[in-house]
Amino acid sequence: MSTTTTKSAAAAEFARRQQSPLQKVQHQLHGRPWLSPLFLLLVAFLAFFIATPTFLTANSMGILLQQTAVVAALAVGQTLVILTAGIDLSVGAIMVLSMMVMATLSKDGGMPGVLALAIGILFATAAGALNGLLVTRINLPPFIVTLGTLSIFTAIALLYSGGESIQADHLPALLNFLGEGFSIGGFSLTWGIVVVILIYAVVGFVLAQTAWGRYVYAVGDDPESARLSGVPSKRILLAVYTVAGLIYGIAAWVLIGRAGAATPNAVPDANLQSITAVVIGGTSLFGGRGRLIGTLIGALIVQTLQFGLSQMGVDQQWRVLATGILVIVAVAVDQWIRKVKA
Amino acid sequence: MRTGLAVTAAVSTSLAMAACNRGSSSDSAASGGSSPIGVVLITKDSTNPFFVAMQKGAKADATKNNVKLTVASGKQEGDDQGQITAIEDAIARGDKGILITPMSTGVNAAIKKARDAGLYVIALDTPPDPANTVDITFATDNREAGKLDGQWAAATLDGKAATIALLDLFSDKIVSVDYNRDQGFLEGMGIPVNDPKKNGDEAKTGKYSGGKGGDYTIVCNEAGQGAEDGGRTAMEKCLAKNPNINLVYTINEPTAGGANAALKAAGKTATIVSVDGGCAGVASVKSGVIGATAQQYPLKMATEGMEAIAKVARGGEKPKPDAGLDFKNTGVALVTDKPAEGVESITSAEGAKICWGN
Amino acid sequence: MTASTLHVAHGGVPAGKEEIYGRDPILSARKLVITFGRVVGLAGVDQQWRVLATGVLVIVAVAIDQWIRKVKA
Repeated sequence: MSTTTTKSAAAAEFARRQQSPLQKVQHQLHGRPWLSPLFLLLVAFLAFFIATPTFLTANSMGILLQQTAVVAALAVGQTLVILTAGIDLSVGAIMVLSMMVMATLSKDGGMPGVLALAIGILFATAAGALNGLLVTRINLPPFIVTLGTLSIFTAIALLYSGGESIQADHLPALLNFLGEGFSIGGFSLTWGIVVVILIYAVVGFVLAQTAWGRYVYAVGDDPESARLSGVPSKRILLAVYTVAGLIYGIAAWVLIGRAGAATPNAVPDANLQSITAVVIGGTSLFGGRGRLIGTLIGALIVQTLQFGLSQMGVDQQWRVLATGILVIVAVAVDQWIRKVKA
Repeated sequence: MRTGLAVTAAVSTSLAMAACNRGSSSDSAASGGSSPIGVVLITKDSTNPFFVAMQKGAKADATKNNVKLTVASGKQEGDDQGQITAIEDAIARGDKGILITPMSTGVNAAIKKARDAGLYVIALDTPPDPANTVDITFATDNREAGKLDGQWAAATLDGKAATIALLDLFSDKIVSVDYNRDQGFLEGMGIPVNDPKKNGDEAKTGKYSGGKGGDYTIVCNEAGQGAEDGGRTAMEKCLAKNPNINLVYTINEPTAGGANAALKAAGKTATIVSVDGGCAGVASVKSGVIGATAQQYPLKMATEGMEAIAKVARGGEKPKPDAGLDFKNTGVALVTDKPAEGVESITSAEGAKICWGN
Repeated sequence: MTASTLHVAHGGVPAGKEEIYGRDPILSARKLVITFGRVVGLAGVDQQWRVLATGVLVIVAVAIDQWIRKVKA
């Protein structure tokens, strides 16, 4: 018998082999990277439901969504960047800069709300584009670029705003709008949540169903072969960072509604929170793998943990520890899934 | 890389020489004709409105005292290294004095270095631990601020049961302003605090002895990071646990703003007390959002400190702490439009005249 | 985080065969960052401008590094 026949026979044998139940689970999860965080989320829900009666109520769930909204929005931009094997450390800084620009321009009957909002989001988009240009034109590693722009945008925001915060009653109704709430059943939701869900829907669709989306995955997975197969890598990268910036600008709008003020020290750990959400959501830091829905689940998991532990009355310091352990567990599970044999 | 480093090093060195020259030549400046005194103001960060106001006030007053003022800070609360670097820069620059809101005991060694080099160091707002690390402290008594809030709250409750939410500053750090205000509030209410330097270790139910006395329940200790969005999240968590909260202690006024947003969204009301006395906070007292706030005077601290250093550097006498205290108390006053019996306070109109910030 | 990551960023990682970074890249990078910080601090520059300058420094330094690598190649 020739060796090729032996090899293909062996391959066929391998494909037919009996898989242990655990390996079957591993296989299922491998195909759908967001199943594992979803599983974790359900486990968390169940655990907290058993632990405390105030967790699984309509009111609490509405609150949980409101608390997740801003980081979930930021994490969309972060997902796009990480999918291209990059990382964006300037997330929070761009959001704060955009927020202070919007607020300062429209304060106390200055510019009309629509114009200030547009300019603020434009600033955020431009900031993202700057990141993209530095990455594509000067070939700097994204880590370095966004580390530098993190400082630059933070400083600009502080210099521009003079370190002062602007309360909601000095701002036009449009800027505060996303904080307005409404009730569905017993759930209290805000328009901010609606906007964030829209962002997920649109970006999720683009990533999964359009050529552009497939290019993003290609660039992250293997930039050389992407380039060789005719993917306009540089343009895709630039677009990714610019779109991310745009999303951070919208997140700033959501944040003003939520906080009831525009402050330069809002959400101090936005960077880490957004990266955590993306990582827990099953997106690989090495690029090319992950689904946007996973990020949403990741963001929810972190908030659920925080919220659930607070309902249980667990001490603050233990909660910080728990979040750290969660990240490690989530990534370990993800690594195990990826070890699946084809 | 080597060439790049060499180039940048050369540029840096020439810049350094230029900076040194600028520092030693005397500016024309204001009165006296003598050269200005170099003073550095080092706050904890540059985003907290309290420190922003302190920085602004100091800058405005610098020329009056013929002081060349540099402003520095850590990047955020907990950034010891940022303050240490600023202290070392001041020594190198030849400053005569340092005004500092010490981040933690982590900066003590650097302060000692500065004093050994002949600089006069004044701590602002937060006395260092131990107090004699610096030459003198111009502070506000955070514990007293909390106590005023607690006494007012107890008197206002008039014997009713208190369902309390405590909105603190940090969950991942322990800083003195956090436990002093929180524990001070509880002491003012007449609630036994176990460890006076630890938040959250009190009995969750019991009786408070302030005012007429009554039952109390502590629903939660949540950290809001001192800003509106964190304050809102913290308050939401507390309300989810117990929707009948009627008394909220907040570490500062931005946190109170967030707490109020959460209460409004939930269709609830509660009495909110706070500390700071910024103009926005005083306006909140006027509008009824905050029941009472303990007003502190960051500008006063900074300018009095700067004047003291200018005086000492020109050979004048050193300032002394107030009697019975180990710091110079720049004062705290309770601002409320609903005065309570036995608790001294000023109205929001009076508070607005001496408030700081925007 | 920022200070220590800055140092690593400047030091870089020896790329392949070319050991072009000198004897101790991390140390020289560290000295560079500290010198710059001192210079800016000595000049009595306000806090925010220092932060801005640090950010620009990171990008400029690594950009110069990239450019030099291209020239050498």
